[in-house]
Amino acid sequence: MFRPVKLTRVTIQTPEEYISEVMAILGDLRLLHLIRVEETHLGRLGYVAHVNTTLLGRYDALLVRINRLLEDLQFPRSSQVVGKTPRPDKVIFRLEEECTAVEKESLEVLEQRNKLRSTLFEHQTLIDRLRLLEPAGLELDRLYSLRYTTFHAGLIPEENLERLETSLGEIHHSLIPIDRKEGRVVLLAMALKEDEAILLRALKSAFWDPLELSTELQGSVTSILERLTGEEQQLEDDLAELENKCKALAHQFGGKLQQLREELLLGRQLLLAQEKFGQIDHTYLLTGWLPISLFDDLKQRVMKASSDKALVEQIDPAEVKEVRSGILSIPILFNNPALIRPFERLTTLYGTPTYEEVEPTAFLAITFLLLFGIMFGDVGHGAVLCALGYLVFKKMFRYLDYGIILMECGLSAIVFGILYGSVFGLEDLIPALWMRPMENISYFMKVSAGIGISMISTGLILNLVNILRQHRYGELLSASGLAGALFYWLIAGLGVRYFLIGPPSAFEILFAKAAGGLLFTLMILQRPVRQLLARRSRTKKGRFLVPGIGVTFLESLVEVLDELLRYLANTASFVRIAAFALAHAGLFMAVFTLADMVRSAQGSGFFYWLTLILGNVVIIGLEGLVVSIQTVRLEYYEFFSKFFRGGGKPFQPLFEEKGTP
Amino acid sequence: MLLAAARYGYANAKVRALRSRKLTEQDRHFLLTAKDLTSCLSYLATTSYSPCLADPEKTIPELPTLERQLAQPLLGHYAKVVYSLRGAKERELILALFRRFEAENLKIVLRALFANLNRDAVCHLLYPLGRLNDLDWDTLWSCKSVSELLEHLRPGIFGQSLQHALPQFEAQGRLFPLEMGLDFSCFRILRQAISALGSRYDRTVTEKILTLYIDILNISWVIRLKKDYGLRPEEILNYTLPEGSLISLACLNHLARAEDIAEFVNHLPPAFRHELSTIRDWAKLAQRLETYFLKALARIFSGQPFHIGIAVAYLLEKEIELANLITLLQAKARNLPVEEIGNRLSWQITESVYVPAG
Amino acid sequence: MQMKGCWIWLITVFFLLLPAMGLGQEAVPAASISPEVAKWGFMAAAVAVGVSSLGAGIAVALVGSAAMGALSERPEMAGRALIFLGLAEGIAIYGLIVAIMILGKI
Repeated sequence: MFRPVKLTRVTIQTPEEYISEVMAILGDLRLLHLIRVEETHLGRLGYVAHVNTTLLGRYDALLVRINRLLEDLQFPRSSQVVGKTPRPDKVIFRLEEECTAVEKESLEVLEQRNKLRSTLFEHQTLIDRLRLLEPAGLELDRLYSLRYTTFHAGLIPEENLERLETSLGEIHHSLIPIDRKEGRVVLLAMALKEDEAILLRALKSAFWDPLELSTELQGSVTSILERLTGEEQQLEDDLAELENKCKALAHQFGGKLQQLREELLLGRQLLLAQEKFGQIDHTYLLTGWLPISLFDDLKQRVMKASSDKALVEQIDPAEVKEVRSGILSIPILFNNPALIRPFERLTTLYGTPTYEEVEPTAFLAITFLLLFGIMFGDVGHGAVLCALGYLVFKKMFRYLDYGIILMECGLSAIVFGILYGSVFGLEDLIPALWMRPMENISYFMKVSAGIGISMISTGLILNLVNILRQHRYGELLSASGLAGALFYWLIAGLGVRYFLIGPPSAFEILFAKAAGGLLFTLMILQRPVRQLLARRSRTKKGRFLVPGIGVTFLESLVEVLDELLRYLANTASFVRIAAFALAHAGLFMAVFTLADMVRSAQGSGFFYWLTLILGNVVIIGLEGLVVSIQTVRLEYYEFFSKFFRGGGKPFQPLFEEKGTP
Repeated sequence: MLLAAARYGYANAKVRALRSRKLTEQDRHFLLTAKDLTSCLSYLATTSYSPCLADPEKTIPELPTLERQLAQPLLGHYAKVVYSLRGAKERELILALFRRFEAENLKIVLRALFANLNRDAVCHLLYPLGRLNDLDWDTLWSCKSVSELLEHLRPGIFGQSLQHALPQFEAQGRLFPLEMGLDFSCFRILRQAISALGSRYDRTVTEKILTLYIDILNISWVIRLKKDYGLRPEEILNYTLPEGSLISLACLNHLARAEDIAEFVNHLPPAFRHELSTIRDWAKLAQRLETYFLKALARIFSGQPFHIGIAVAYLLEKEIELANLITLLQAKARNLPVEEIGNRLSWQITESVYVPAG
Repeated sequence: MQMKGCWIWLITVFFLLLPAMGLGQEAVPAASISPEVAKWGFMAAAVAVGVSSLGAGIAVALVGSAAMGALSERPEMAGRALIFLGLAEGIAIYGLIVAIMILGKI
């Protein structure tokens, strides 16, 4: 729970013939984090990542065909569950055959339908264009017979009309707007036949969209329109028939196509995973991280599948050369019991812990629930939160984690509600097992400061553990290491002693001064001294007062003062726990006062209970939000910042868990 | 004032900190007087452009590729400025400025499609858009024809203008209408973003910057379309941007029909006429206008600090700096003499000034 | 699992016992001053701390965000930026001092 799952580095070497089966086994096992062979030293031995591009090409082409079929048939794409993991090179043949069979039945009908659709569309556009000219009541044959003028009908964008007018200023012209449509103006442009070239040039540069009217169209625009509308009706009937046929096809083949698609995607994913393998001659090499507990199972299955021709080895992570030189980092696989697992989200939000660091999710979970409970303590509200969490847990699969967190927070709030003796704000129903917040304000604040001291101390201890684990011994003497922690405990100890027992004795003050002074000087001097020693060991010359030492000294002083002040600020910041718990109780008082005012105005009854219920809902929403944000802030900025460095790599299994939507 | 400070405190500080890394007087002097392209680039590697220049062991890439690589700091700064602004409307404005680079990339895609080149042949000419990119470039590159590409772009911001320009593209058989359509849509988006801003002061300042920019762009386009493309006045007028402030449509009409420089400058409004009265050369006209614009942008930084105009002005300044840098590098590659290069840049370099190091 | 359960209990007890040990101390009775004046004195102390904290909050927000903006591009300005931040935070302390002085007299 405090360490991630122990991993081991696994290397599998198999001859080419068995690679597909091995891949299928890996697909079933799932918990293998593959490393690109090229990144390891084996990559330099000549192992090359080799993806079977021709096979991948076939998969891609087939995927395009199936997707298009699904789209044309208008069948929704949804995920299906696939049973066994297939062998990619084998299963492609079956998939291609089945797809061809479906295509044979449906492609022809689909094509006919598409063609009819486009013909109908063209017909419709011609009708629309002629409709544009209808308001002018034009008679086309009369216009064509004009002797000295020429005319052009078309559309131009509205904003270009003014410029067109100005540009034709030199010639005789007439621009007659007929109608406005979709940001464009339907225009009839007329000019003298001798100026037609200028007119055309100007129209050309104004984004002219000519309405082609062939000279065959006789008669007035209205009569032409009637004729075309009649033809359209016939085309629409034909189209409806074809659409029905397509629907029948969709019904018949839709499910099957989806199934094919899922298998295709799975096979493709397996093929792509090959990218991380290495290949030399006819042997494949894979390497990755695997939980130790799964190693024996893997070895057995691979040996069986490859008839003992494969080679499976494991190395302890600490001995892997790349890890020691820092090129590769061991990924971490979280290892928490089910109740604490939802809090992993909060941890990864801040950063991913490295493999050697203490994994702080357990501490996060406990302190989160504790702080939440203290700030939100009420039996009734806790029960509501619990019920809400249970609902989310059961109904909404995607928010499972949040459901569990809500339930646990609710339970914590119930516990502290019992301790405060508060049920939906009523303080006389059950006795307070610990204290009532509103009546012991200063005591509560001292308790909060105490909680702050304990949390920060935990953070400091974890920091020390991390320092030791990561062998960063140089930091022990700094303000964020052992010296800082001891100083903090000294001052905190004095403070606690003052509040519990009374003013400290003269001896204790003297001891505190001496120890504090010693630690303070140590913290300030450690950086300049280390720098000095490093420089002396390199240059081997005398000279204590190296240039730049004064600056380092000053920097060190500022840094230490800053850290110590931050400890003080962090501890004081925990008093907000008391503040929010009191705010919670205060909000209850406000709601009751409001309800009493309503009661005195309207009498006991519907409105009184309505006010109470609404008030409680508001309190749960508001306080819940604020308290959770404040708790997360306290966790991150006061707790995590003491020891969490992050920079780790999360464990990436070979496939995602199937079945999650 | 307090609310404006709260809204723009972070963004203002960030933009000014970014601006502090601009190329200094000394930098420009040394870049201009460098012996050849290689020494110029090695000096450039010591300025804020160093991350995008490859390390000295690798060979220097071709100049077109290098030009796009040098745009990386600029586009990175766009992302930084966008993420430092708090309001969605303010971010929309900066994103609207950014869309111009997306439009440039779209032009490259269109040209490649038109000339049947595949992606690898031209990918070095694309701007590295980075995090602010929201077009799906893979889909766009996989289109087989221009109309398919425009179908994909239809729901986006460029969609409307491209659809409007499509008929002309099909009629003329060249990409020019589509490219102009892209430019128009960029400016339409900018105007929409400005009019959507909440604070009145923000709107006034950005409108001033934008209308000045549009005016200067219009003048440069008229000159370019006349001289380099040889278009007739009716066509030129339809390709100008609407809603400039100082230069009205009638004025542009006269400018498009002007035959020589003197007549051209005469028709400009007084503010520009002052600046440009002594120019005798078409190329120098555009460059002088850019200097005028740079001066106007610099003035914004000495006024009230808490508005969106600071971010806009900085990004435009940096873009102009980049354009000048690229002109400089191209001139160095052709080994032009120093005075001639100086004539083509809109930086105000007083060449005789030598600022000692330190 | 037994060891783990043991650990959990130990830690919980540690957290609860430490602070729960101890009894509170009674507050020292205040010096004599008429309750009317004391009422106003408490009010004044509260207002002093409240309003100065508000002012400090606004100041730190503005200075802090600008400092962050500048620091993100030029980390070498950290020293100067933090000095300005310290100036802004001091405003809260002034209010606190006044409140303590008032409460000291009551």
